[in-house]
Amino acid sequence: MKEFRYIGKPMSNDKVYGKVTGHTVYTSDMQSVDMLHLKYKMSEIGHGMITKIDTSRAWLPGVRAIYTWENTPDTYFDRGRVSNAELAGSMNQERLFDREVRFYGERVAAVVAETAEIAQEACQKIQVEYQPLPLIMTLEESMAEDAPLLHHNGNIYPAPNKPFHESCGNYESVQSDLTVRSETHMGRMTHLSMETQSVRAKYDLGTERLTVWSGCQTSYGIRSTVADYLGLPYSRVRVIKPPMGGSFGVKQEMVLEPLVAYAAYDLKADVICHFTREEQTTGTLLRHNFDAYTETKVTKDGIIKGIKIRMNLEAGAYQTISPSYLRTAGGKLGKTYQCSNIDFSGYSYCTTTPCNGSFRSWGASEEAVMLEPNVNLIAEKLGIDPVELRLRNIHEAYEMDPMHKANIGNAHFREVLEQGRDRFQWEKRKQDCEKKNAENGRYRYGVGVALCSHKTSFYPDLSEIATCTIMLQDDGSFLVNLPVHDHGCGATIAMRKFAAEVLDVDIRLIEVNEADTQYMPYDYGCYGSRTIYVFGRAVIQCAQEILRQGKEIAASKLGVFSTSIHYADSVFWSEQNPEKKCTWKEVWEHAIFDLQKDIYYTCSSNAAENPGTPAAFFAEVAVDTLLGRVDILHCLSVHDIGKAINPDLVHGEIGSGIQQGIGWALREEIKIDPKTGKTLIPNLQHYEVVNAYDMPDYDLLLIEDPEPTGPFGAKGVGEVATAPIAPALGAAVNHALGTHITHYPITPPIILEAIAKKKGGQA
Amino acid sequence: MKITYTLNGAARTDEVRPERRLIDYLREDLHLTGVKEGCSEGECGACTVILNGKAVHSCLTLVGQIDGGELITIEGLEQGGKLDPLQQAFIDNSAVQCGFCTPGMILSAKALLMHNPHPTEEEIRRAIAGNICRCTGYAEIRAAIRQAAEGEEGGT
Repeated sequence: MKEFRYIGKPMSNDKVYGKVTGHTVYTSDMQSVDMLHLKYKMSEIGHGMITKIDTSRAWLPGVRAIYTWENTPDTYFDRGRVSNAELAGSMNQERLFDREVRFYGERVAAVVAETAEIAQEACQKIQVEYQPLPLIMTLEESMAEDAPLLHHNGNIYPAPNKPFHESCGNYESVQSDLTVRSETHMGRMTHLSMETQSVRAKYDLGTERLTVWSGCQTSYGIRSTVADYLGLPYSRVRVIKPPMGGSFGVKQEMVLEPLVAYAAYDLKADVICHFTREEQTTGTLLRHNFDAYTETKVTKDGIIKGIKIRMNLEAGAYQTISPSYLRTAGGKLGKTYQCSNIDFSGYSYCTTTPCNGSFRSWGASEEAVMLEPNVNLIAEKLGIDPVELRLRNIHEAYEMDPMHKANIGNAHFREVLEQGRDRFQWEKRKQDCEKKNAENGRYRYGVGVALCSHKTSFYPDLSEIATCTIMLQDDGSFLVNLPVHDHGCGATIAMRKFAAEVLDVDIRLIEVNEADTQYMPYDYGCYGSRTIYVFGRAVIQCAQEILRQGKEIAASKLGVFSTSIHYADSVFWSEQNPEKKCTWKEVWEHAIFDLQKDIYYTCSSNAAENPGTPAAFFAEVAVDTLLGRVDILHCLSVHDIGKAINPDLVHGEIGSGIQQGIGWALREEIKIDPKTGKTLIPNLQHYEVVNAYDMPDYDLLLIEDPEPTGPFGAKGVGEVATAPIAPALGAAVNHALGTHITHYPITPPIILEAIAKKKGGQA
Repeated sequence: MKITYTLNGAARTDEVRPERRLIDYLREDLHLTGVKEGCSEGECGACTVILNGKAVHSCLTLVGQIDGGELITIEGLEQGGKLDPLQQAFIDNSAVQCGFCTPGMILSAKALLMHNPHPTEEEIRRAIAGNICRCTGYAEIRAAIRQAAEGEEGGT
């Protein structure tokens, strides 16, 4: 087999020079001479009606506009949609400003001024009076018959006492030897993308066009929402995706775009808003908190015959994408194990708290942290090793995911578990931990494992289309126009590698343009771990056609049959007469000047597959029984990735998944004061993110057996990287302490409480 | 207030409001937007610059404090078209993903190596403990700093 020229080679990131020299311009770095700045005033009440807004003292010199519910349209928008077609199914609960305040920190007024300082000062001078209303802080309060309704379509999705339900097989009729029950409580966390939400919008009177710059995940979703809101044709709203300073889901939703675009359109001006960290934490979206009940029916040999899960997902003040998130978490329950009787139900409920929303893995992490602790409990009850128990239940390659009704493709759960077990030295570590624990010292040791999977496309839920254009330039270089949204983790360099590999040209001749709605075809957006798999296929298909065109035109130029044309490394030659050769530059000249035909191609690829991405995490921890702290002594991530296109970047990306997973499992939580609805930790000062000092060294094992439908065999990995971390760490802590902690994050107080409870039980 | 200081190797004099935050002066007045704002309270490290040989948070530093001093921002590291060994090491070790933390991360590492050319692993971890990166697990960043430190051993 021919060795790849670029695929699988470490080449660092695209546009990395700009990033190490500070020259890369993110949205928050954009400046212009007549730029205006938008700041908004946050409510100081958790729930209430605005009775009076006095802006008279806020009209400082330099203030251009003040917006409140009184002078903005009474029009709803949906922050989560990706196209106009999604309008029908949307909950549509948000307005730019609302008379009713539904959470502490909600925007109640915005000021647009010549500087950010003036806008901020003006916001402080706006006086708002409220008539307080009762807080709604729990599912019970939200569902109560006499609960105040937060929205025209109620507090509960789908409806009170009528949960969302999705199933396969028939759980209730399953006969088994054992029923195992567990619970999961999960707290909120913040995405902590390093660049906070930043949006710039400019209305140009010369062209009568509105341009929006947003380091987002869905340019076309933004265009759809903003243009509909303003009543503009989509063709006159241009959304550009500049470099983004991290997302992890927080930039998937249109939090600021409608407001900034409205101000720019209203003032016919250039307006920017760059959130502070505090605004980011409370004013965008958080990772969902939820409560779940899990029940499995198991044979005495450890075969899981049935899975039942009840999930109550807190949406916060607005449903936004939460109903979809709930459905997705349930829909992912059939991806890992063979069990074909699955019963999932749940609610997404509104409370008077900040919005929860999209987070990296969209339900796969939730699925894992609801199901995997139960799997570990089965292992414990039956006295079967947790890895062995999983091996008895996993999918084999090319089986059907019974919930998603999609084939899992060339997915290797067995290799992930077995090779992971060997590499981690699972047995040895497990025994060593138990030996050390027999000494009854201050530190207790434990190992844990969790398994999960994810998807690589939207199939079969949506037609999985991606469109690519490649254009040969007159010097023999290529422009690849692709509505891709690089999050920083290597999508663009991967696309360049795909194009350069197929075209067999120096990769420096390939330039990829990211999403720009004015010049590129439609796309849903980059999420759901679809980017590499779906866009990669489009780029390859498109590059193959460009190469075919190149050969045809080279044949014409050389006066030979196109079937006799050979090509390698930018040179075409004739088989019969190897002296006759030409380059891409000459091909372009012949095409334009002699054949009157430009060389370009646009094609849409359709992925009617959705291969699974098995992933396991193994961890060994030491728990300090005096302070309740957890040290991760060793850990290993194992991923069936098909083929690593950027092996260097994927190591960092998986490290980031581990870092965020550790936060979710053990440290990071945004708490809301139940008495006031106020966010208790809105900044980073007391937020326990894992820094370089705390981050453990991690081992990584990539299983690379190419997925036949993937671009050069590749599958997605960005989201699944974080999915198995929390349940594996939870299992390790429980193994160390002999406890059954199900309350995440497992912070020191939770650990100390569990230890005390265990001692009490023993006493 | 009139301040005179050295910015990225060149002497500079400016009329400033001394109580203005250094980050605002650098980004808004001098358009040095390689200085990033991530938290505004000295917790994330994105706004790190080097003042008189020390890594400082420009969000917690006032412009008046740089008077008479020597200031280095990320824009000043590349000299004569040649990247600083740390910048090159960040590229070589694929230590850059979204890149928003990168300028601050590189400058924290630079300040470390200016005083301690051969740091231990522990010293590297401590030096960048105040710089949050959400896109990696810090492994590539630490490797880059090690490479730059080892490279300087054989160099000048």
